[in-house]
Amino acid sequence: MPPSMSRTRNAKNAKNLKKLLKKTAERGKCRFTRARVTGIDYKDVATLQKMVSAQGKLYGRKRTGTLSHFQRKLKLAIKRARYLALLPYVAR
Amino acid sequence: MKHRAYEGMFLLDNNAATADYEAAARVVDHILEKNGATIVRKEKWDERKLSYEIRGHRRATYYLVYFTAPTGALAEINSDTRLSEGVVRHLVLGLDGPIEEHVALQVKERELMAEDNRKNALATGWGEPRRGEGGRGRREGGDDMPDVIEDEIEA
Repeated sequence: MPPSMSRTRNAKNAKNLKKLLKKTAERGKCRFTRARVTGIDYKDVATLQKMVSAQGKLYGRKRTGTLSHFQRKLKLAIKRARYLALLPYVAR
Repeated sequence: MKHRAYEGMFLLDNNAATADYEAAARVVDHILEKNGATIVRKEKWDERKLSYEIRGHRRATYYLVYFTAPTGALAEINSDTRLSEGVVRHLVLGLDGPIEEHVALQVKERELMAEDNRKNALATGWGEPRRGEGGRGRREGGDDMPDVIEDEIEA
């Protein structure tokens, strides 16, 4: 293979790889980062419900991939929602 | 005294609220105004089943109020609300920044929610558009993978 061709192929590979990495990185990001939210509201019950188990316990960061910044906001939002009986403390 | 922006969520006794919502909401408005608060926006947020029973109540009407009040008035507002029989539970949060921003955000969110509900209703009427979209997304991802691998082998 002529060296010039190999160079173009490498460049193409690098471009493709970059694209792929970007895509997978985007997919792996936390859902709040992807949605570009600034805060998590206790009134957004549909979102909060996705982040707790059937028992009503908050899922860990390792399971949901949430960034620590948003996990802390989420914790507060869930506690507020629980106080206002929007979410259960314990679901039976 | 310095005024601050607040967001208050009040769970109104559902029996009173279904009979006369205006009167039930007026109890809260009265408490706020008595303590020097200025109401910027008030709305009936929802009427829903409680996740757990609160002093015998299984359902409540959620009343959302955005208001500004003197910084020292919050303790009075809280104690007055706790003593009033028409309110099952309440939560008042301080807001950072101008209240107009928060009110505008809330209005926008309500509009988006209404739009989502409308779309979901349409989607369920038309069959399975969601599943179709998901399928396309997966196929796109699948096509990308072999592309790169083939190039790598050739190189």
